[in-house]
Amino acid sequence: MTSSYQNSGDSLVASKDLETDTPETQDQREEYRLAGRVGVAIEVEAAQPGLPARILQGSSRDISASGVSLNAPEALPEGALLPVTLTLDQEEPFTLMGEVRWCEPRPEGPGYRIGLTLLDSDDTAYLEWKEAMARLLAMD
Amino acid sequence: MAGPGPWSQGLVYCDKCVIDAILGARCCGPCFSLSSYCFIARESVVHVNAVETIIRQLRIPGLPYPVGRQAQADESDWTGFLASAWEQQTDATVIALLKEQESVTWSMTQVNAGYLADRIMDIFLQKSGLHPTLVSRVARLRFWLAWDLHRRHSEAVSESAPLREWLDSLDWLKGWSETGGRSDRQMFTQLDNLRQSVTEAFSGHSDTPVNAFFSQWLELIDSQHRRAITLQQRLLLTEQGAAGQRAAEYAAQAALGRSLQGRHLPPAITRFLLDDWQPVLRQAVRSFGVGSQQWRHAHRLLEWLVWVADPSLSGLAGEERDKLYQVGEQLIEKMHAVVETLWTKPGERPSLDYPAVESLLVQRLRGEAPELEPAPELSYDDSWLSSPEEPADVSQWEGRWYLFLDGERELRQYLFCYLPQTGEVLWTNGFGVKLGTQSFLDARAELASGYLRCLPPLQSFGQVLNRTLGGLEQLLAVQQQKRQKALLRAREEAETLRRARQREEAAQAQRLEDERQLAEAAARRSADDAREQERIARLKEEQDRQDALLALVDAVHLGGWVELDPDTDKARRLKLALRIKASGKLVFVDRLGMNRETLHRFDLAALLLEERARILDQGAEFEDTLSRVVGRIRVGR
Repeated sequence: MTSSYQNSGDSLVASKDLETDTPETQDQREEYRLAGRVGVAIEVEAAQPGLPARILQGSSRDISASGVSLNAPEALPEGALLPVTLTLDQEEPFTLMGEVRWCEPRPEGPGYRIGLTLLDSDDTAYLEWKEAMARLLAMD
Repeated sequence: MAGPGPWSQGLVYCDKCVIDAILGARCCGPCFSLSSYCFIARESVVHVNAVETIIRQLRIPGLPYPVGRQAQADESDWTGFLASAWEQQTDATVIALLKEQESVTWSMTQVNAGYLADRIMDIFLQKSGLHPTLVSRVARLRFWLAWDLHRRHSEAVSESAPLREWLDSLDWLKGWSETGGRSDRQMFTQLDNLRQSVTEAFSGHSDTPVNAFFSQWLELIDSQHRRAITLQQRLLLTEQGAAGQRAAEYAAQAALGRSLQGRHLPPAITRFLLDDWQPVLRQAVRSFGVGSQQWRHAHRLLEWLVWVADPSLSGLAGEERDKLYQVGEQLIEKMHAVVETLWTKPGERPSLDYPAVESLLVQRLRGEAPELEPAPELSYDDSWLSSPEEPADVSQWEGRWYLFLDGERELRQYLFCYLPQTGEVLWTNGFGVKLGTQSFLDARAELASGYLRCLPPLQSFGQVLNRTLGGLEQLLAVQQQKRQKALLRAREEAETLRRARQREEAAQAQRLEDERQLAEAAARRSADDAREQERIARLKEEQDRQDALLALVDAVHLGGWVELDPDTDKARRLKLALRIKASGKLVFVDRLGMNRETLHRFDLAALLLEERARILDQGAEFEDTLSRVVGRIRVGR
């Protein structure tokens, strides 16, 4: 059970009508994303004999029940299936599988913005993530 | 002056309305305000109250909000952080600085206060038309504004907030440019005072020093404004008079220049025209304007006198002679009449050399040839012989600031008013000091060519604030709706998944039980049949082999490696990325997560049997690798 996790928008001030136009008003039909920082670790290269695994660590831009977007110093290939862990607060991290849906250069500086869709699989915390997101959305 | 005077009710008009008031025109209704400065019609205050809700609940993508329990935790004091940014006079935004502090967890209200301060200040200043140096200095108040918004929410930007009034007063500085002169020093001194005041406010956790600065500043501006009004009033009267003089001078010069061109006249008549009649022409323009009857008469008499004085124009034969008689009879009388009209008080009338004209007339009527000499060639512009046509759009120009480039310097000047007598515009420094005059048509051409640029009209801080907050309020409403939907959907999806897993587990248990029962039944049926027993044994052996292979397949965890087509040149090593137990689907990818291969568990078992696949490892490292990085991890139950 997967859902697409699309690109959410650009800079905060550079828009046609500065006072009333925001990135979100340009993106009214997408799934709701909770803007906020959670820890993200992605295994971008699996270990092989003689070669260790390479992990990319960072913070999210926003999260949802079906995906996450983050800023990263390097690009990731679209379509890649990669192990991802998401860490909320001081809780145990959630181990998940993510598919890279989009990757584009950051408009406001160096690096990339990446969107991942979380995929259902055994041996992952997919259900637990959904439940955690439901709890988060009920907060604030 | 129409309407109440500016000072009697504590009101100050905007520049446009000052001019209207001085000229005796009606002040525009929307110009009146309740505060001490006059701005365009006040906006509704409804949105200011939305500040609190926005600060507490809005989430903008990309901002460093806390999530979950962190969002509920006590926030850290950010006063020192903002004070430091202010002290360094950095041009970075509040949000940029917050984002840089990756190890610090900012609260929702801190992040949103920073965002709001950045947004409001940037929009206000971008549309202000102020000089870039001033914009960048004032923009740094964003740190103070963020702190105050976080502390007092809507009170920080309410109508009575001193900051708001101060920001609106900056419109008075639209004419300021960094020229290196005395006004620069005054301005930078004030900005240094502001810097000091805000620093003290941060360190004392109080807005008293800042408010004191704003108050002193507003008093200064008020005093300058009053002085400027007085200067402007005087300047207008002076320049209108001067324009009238110029128009009269040029019109008289043009009339004489055209009439005398190529003529030969008695010297006495030339003197009369230049010394005596030219002032009459000027007076006609000054008092009644070009195009008036008085001017037409004076001009006509000039032409008649030249006609009479120059024999090449007025011959003595036939009709010409009769005409000379008629003109000669009336000429001096009509001259008297014009003079009497222009100077109603006899004591003020100039003394004209009429005898010179009379003597000329006698000479011409007697047929005598007066001594002639060439009339002086005067330089003139005959466009002054008619009134300049007032352009229909001139009122849109008055009372506004304009920008032009002088080499690399950016200069600002204020179009104070249009002078209808000369068709010119009067440029000032905005404080009643004349910079010069220019033909309106020339100015309009410069605007069209881009050499001159009109600065944007005033937009008050309140207007910007309300429009910004209005937009964010709408956004928040949409976010809240979408969030609620997302919450319901997440709960529903989790419930669906849970039930599916429960069903799968139940089905798996049932399958195992069914297999066990079938096996028992088969064993019982075949107990007495040796051949059947052999067949069943064979089947069981095959089944056991397949079960063993499937068990091997099922023992491969996420991250486990297999090799397809081993020992061939097409050999590929792939790791398990997804396993869907319900469907038996397995998805493999390469080391970089690409080049996926989807197999069913049965397919992989068959490949293992045919030795077209090999299991390299079962993926124990999958959890180990990540757990080393992120600590003890949670996987599916």
